Amino acid sequence: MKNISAAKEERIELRVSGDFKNLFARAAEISGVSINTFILESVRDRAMHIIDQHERIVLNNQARDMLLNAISTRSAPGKALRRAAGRFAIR
Amino acid sequence: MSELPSNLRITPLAPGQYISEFDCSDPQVNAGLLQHQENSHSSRVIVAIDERQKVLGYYAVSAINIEFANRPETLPPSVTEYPIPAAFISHLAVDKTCARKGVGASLLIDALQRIEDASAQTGTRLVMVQAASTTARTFYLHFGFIPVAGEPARLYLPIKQLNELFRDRTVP
Repeated sequence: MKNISAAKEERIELRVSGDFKNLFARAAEISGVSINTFILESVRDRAMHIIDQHERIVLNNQARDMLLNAISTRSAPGKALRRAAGRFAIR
Repeated sequence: MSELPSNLRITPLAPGQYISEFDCSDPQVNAGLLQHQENSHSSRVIVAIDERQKVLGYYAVSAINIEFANRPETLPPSVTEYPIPAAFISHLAVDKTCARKGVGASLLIDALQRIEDASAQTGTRLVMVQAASTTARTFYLHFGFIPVAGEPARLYLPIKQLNELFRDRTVP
């Protein structure tokens, strides 16, 4: 998160129903922040959560053991993969 | 399987390529390509194009970490980094007009080459893929990908296999 303060400010507009606006306003008031801050912080937290989930995969014990075994023991590429590397490498 | 389309090139997604016509029969995956073009923050998109710059297929690759719900007391000696760095192919799709011509295999080999080339720097230990359909799953199984236990849509290949696969290749 370097240089975030130097980043250009952008504008996001969104249209919401009165019901939604009232809901956000109530929650913002309870939290003691402005509606803008409330929306911004809520969306930021959700965005960070989604990105965090997207950038990592958590494995259960069985999957963990299989994977550790697979990446730490020697294994050779299969016939189909070797054939494809010979035939379809086009770069 | 017939011949690869002539003049097929594989290149990073760039302006001027015709992606709007791309159709792999899965509307969600089609939309995924457009989304990647507009908003590609963390993943890199590579496309297969013909001589008219029409996109015949694509894949998206990003860096991820593999973590464990329960971390074991000891890791194998060769596993020196935790979380384990991995490459993740989130999409790989081919236009339906050139299905079964090897475009998918070409894209996969290209992805594996790029990942293996970079692995000395990135420390990537494996390639994880997300299979969007049973057809995609069969495709990866055919090339020796190992299913993640309990997660049929995810499969992986140890980087060691790729080191061996491309060992004799001269880096372009």
